[in-house]
Amino acid sequence: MSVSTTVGVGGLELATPVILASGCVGYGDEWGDLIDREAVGAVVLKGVSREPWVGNVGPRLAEVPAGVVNAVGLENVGLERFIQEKLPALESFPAAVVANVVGKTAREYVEVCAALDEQPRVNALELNVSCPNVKTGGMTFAANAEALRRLIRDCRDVTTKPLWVKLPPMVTDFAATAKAALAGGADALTVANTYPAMVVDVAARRPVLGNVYGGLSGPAIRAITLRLVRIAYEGTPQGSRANIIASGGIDGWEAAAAYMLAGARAVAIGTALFTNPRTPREILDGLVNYASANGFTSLEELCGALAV
Amino acid sequence: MTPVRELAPVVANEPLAAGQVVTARAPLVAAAARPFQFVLAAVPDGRFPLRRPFSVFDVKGEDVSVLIRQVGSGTARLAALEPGAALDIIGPLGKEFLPEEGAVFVAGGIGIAGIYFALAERARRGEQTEVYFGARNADELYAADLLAALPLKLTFVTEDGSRGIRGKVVEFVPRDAKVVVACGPRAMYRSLLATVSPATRVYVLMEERMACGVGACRGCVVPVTGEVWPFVTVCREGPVFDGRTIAWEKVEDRI
Repeated sequence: MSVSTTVGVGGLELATPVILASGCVGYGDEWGDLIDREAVGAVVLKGVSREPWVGNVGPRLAEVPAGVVNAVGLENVGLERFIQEKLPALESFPAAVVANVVGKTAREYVEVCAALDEQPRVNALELNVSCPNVKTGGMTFAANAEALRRLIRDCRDVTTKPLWVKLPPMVTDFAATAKAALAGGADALTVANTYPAMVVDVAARRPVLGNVYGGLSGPAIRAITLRLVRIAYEGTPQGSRANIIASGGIDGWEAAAAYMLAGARAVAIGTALFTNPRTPREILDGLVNYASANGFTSLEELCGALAV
Repeated sequence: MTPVRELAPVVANEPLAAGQVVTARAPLVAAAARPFQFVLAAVPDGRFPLRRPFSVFDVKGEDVSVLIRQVGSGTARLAALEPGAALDIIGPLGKEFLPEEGAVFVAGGIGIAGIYFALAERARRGEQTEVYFGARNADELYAADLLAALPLKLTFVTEDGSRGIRGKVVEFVPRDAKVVVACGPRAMYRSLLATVSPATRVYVLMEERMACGVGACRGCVVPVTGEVWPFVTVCREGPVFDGRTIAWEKVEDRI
């Protein structure tokens, strides 16, 4: 039986539910043919700020059991070069292109959103309100539900493009955070970002990362983020469930299926690309096999199909 | 060429001084790899999220070799790969580097892994290259016998005098060399830059903790001075850099 891979998520119709996560895929074309773009429904580009950000001093990476701690610090070329140099290179990219937006103030978020609203190659915007590696990287907004709702509403006012919001995993009441984002006008929630972390070099008696603190990604966080997806899904009423993009340690089709059953409509792949850039293709093929073997006619039907 | 991933069958695994040379049949990488480029190898049990970067140590026909020094459990697993097992590599990565004529090569310890391929190529072309290779002791003079078999102007230096001249390798590098290409610990680079003439061009091969290998994640950065942007990536812009453009005051010597 053939299985439809198309999913509707956050105002976009994606050819597949497999999304390339922001921060791991640069400006979309660096990986070249190592990633099978035909297996991908959308690529979320590296966070872009109004002005260029240089990022953190190194080391920026540390491997830990089943995970990676990074402190890149949202290094990016800034809005002007993003529009002039990076977007044109994606003209022929076969999947949806999502711009990830970062800022130090609400005004910066709004200005970037307004400028990107005019860019036809940008199919949706994802607000990053959850970077743990920049002191003013938006996490301050997400810590307060009302501030988050206002920020999203202000961005919503300047763009007609679908608006996704990438939420921080470490908040007191995740359901309230998710609801605030939806109340502000988010079309989809990316659940979630990395978890604040650190690593110590015992021999040197120093922190490994130049920034001391970083964000933990990879399979190590999967079981924790899976719960957040379920909370965001259940926290919204049947019939108007939140559109959720799961992002947290997805390294194969089983992890992707688990997230979709728990309520995600799509799955974002990041750290697993470093281990195996074939992961998007393997996930898509695995999901199709799983859906077919279990009597589903589309991958979309997996969303929330958890027996509880 | 854009990099490719190959599941390359290991054809040999031989000890070399304190390391292992793992050779795998990787026709695509072998055909494209140039001196100073590197590969990312997946640790073969699936529990290590990051691949490990290794310089292309040598290429013969369809075979690619890497010289592995065990520093942790990931490199230990890679160094233990038996013939017949698959080496999962992505490459070639980084830029080929062609130094100016008359370049003097300097290696420190395992740093020989980064320049052996270039030396072998130069030898095959019949070029006479001046090489200074130093280590703490003879056991860390990786590939010393392989080098000795090449037509090079070769000087070995060990800190304990167990092979070659006793001392530190930088002391023996001609101060007035026009061009020096170095691969080794960062402390050696600092010492080299402080020792040679200010007119000497010094190229250094940089290592950093790495994730994507293709310039996408901006993880493996090195700080630079006098550039438009304060960071360059080892994987995309490197791994060889003009040593005088690196902001050494912001670089740690743990690698």
